[in-house]
Amino acid sequence: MPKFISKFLLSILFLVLAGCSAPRGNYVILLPEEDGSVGEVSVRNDAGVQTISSVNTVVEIPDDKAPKKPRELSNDIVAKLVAETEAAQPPKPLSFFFFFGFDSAELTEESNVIFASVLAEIATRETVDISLIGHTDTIGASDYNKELGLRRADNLRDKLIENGIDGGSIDIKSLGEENPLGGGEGQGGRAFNRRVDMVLR
Amino acid sequence: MFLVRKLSSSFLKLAFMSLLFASTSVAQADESAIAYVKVLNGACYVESAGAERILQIGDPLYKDDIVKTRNESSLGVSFRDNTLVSLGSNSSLKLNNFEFDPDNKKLAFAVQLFEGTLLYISGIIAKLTKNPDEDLQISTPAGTISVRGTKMFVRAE
Repeated sequence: MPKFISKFLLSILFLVLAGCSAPRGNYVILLPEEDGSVGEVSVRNDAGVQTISSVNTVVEIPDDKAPKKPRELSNDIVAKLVAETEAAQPPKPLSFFFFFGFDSAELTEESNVIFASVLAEIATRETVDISLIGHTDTIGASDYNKELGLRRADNLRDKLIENGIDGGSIDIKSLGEENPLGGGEGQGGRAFNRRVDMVLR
Repeated sequence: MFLVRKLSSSFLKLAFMSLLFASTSVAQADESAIAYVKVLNGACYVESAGAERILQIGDPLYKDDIVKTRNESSLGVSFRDNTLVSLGSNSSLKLNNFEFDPDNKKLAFAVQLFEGTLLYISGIIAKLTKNPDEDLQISTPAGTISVRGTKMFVRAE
């Protein structure tokens, strides 16, 4: 085989391998989020910086050298590399809203229905920690509303504890009237603001 | 046999004492916990205040803790701002800094991967921060990664 042909073949082989060879050493791969969106990552050391913003792109970081130029990896290679670590991802945090009547810290009937679905979700998880943030409408003094928001969150916490959830993993606070949902302070808006936001992790 | 009995009775005492302790603090949220262990496969460990112990599901984690996996073990933790992090086998990660107090504009997430693999899904801190380069840092022995709201995989050796 003439020399130039073998050189040509070799360089093609090299290009093909570069596109699909697994990264080595220290590296970062950018992955798509659940909704398909992609963020951005910068990798920096004393010798330089690289930024990646497209899916399945890798930056390798050699010791004592600048991060290498980003390159794209095949889906197969990425899937293989991340499999073990991805399998240990915690379940996705979920948000719930609980609504209350005017100047009341008692859950509305709809909120009791939501509470039942929260208990069902908790039952599917091995362990949970929960954040509760109480809110109010803007009627009344702001100090009073802060305290009302806390009573709302407190009641929800007690209900969780009654249902066997460890109080030590429930974090509560009140924002009172400071953080309206949807912004509107008309009749409907006010009802939306009389609430507790729950995050279940 | 005697030794075993003695040991088990002191274990019993210990269990009883911790039960007492737990019941007095039952409604008190652990304010200084920054993350909780949600997934455990095989034996994983935490080095906390100089002592190493085995991790249980649901354990709280604190600033400066170092979590470690071994051969064929892996773990997943969720932080208070909904950031999700998991580690593959033979990994070691230090939780350098974490502040989540949006009302007072205090936001910080900094972890250090000494070795192994890490999968990161950003949480609320990444959404709220105005200075991602300062507030959100994942460091490895070869370089520092700054993140703008994303999912990514990191390997360090």
